[in-house]
Amino acid sequence: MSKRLFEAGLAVYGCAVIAFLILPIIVIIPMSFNAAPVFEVIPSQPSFSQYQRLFNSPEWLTVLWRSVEIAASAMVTSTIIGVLAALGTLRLGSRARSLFEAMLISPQIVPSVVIAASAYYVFALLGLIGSIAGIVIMHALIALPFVLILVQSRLQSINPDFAQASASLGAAPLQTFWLITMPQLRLALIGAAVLAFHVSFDEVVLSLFLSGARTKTLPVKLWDSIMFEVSPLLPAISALVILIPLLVIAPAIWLQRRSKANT
Amino acid sequence: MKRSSLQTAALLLVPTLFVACFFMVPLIYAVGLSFGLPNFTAESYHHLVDSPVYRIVYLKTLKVALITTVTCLLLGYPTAYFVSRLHPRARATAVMLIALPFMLSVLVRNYVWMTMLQDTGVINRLLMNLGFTKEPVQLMYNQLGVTIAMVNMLVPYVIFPVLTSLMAIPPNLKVASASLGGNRLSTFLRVTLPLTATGTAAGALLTFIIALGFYITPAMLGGPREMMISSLIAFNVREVLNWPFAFSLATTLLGSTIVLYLAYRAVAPRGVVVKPI
Repeated sequence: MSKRLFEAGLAVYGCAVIAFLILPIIVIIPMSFNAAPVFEVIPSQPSFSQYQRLFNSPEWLTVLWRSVEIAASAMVTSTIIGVLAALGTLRLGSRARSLFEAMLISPQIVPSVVIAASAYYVFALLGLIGSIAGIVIMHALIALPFVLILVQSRLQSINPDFAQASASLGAAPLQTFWLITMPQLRLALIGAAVLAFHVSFDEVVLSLFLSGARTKTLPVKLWDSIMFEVSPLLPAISALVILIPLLVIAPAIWLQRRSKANT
Repeated sequence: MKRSSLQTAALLLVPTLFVACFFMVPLIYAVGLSFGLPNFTAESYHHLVDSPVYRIVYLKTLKVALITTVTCLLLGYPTAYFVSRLHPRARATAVMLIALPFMLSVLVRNYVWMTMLQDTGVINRLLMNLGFTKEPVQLMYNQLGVTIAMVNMLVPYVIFPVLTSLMAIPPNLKVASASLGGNRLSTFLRVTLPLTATGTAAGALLTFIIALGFYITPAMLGGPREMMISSLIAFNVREVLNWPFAFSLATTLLGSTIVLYLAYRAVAPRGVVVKPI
């Protein structure tokens, strides 16, 4: 009896915690389809008006597009650098390797505000404050640990015999990489790239410090409108913020499926 | 051999330069400036120790981070235990649900909490409709609101390491304990709990590290009275441009993060992915 009571209690507790965790997602979607600016379980004035206003606002669309561009640039930068780092660190001895890894992963550990403050000072000296390039660089930096960890763990699970066979059959290292390693790495690469895109697209603190009035990213503009104005467009924008990384991932998954179907 | 190490160096050249130029050097420079580079002076640190305002902010930061971590453990451990005993299919769904909020923007999650916790928010309306209270309860612009939102974002950082260590326990250990006459409680206390101690410690340290550096949540849900160290750094950089002082604050935050992270690395499994907040 007490055993069943314990099981039931545990299940209720666990489900309640999980419900608490996903509460923000449950709440934001109905809010975005409601013309009334409060949360109601069933929207009292259901409409697409928020989305209509959003897509008729050149101001928000400019910022949205800028954020997509920044995230795409940061994604490409951090994926390339991350793959180089993953290939390089795995060739090192264990001590040198943990040293390099610690260095490359540290942007993930240091609080964003500390990174932002130190970058702000140096960027001010270099005249990079308010530049798109500055934001892309810093976003690529904080996305790098994700790429490194994902690509490294995939590389470690690849059988090295293939690469050795390729080399012994006379392929140059670069040829081996493109023809043998790369195809096996593809899924991890896609995952890493999507994650990097998401990290950049969602990043607030660094962008808040480093962007200028003309280079605001979507989160910075969201921040401004949350802190300084009451804009009922927010739920719609928030729902889009969830959707866009999903739109980035969808073609990747489709490509993956198609290439699997071909082989 | 020589050619191979040349290749390794070539592979690592760009990543190293990138991280050095845009991360290491600015950070070291900031620490240097906090000590009055090019001279050496600890003036800004004296300022920091002497001022009662900053002591209050430090204590508040520690307090909020501690309360958050303990709450996350209380919510996260039983949940991980529950999830670990689910059928594999249901477990995969539960893990997906727990990871789902990471897809949602940090700003949006805080914004949702703002709309729910405000005086006219859903929680206060519910409390008043059910007759628990006549006046709306103050749920935000105070420590309570900050803690609720922080806990909401940090519980997964406890659940995942604990779940990993729970799943690593061989099931026959529990059978062995039962067959030796251990009841459920003693099996939990003497088998499960010790074997998940490192996972739990890792989760707690990770939660505490991230909580110390929180900036967005205190700014949005705390209001001006609930400043944490990060808010103070941002204020000194963006509003008053007091660099040595901002950097001395940043150095203390950096120092405590590094120490805690070394402790975390000593207990944690490798390669845990943290999302910066």
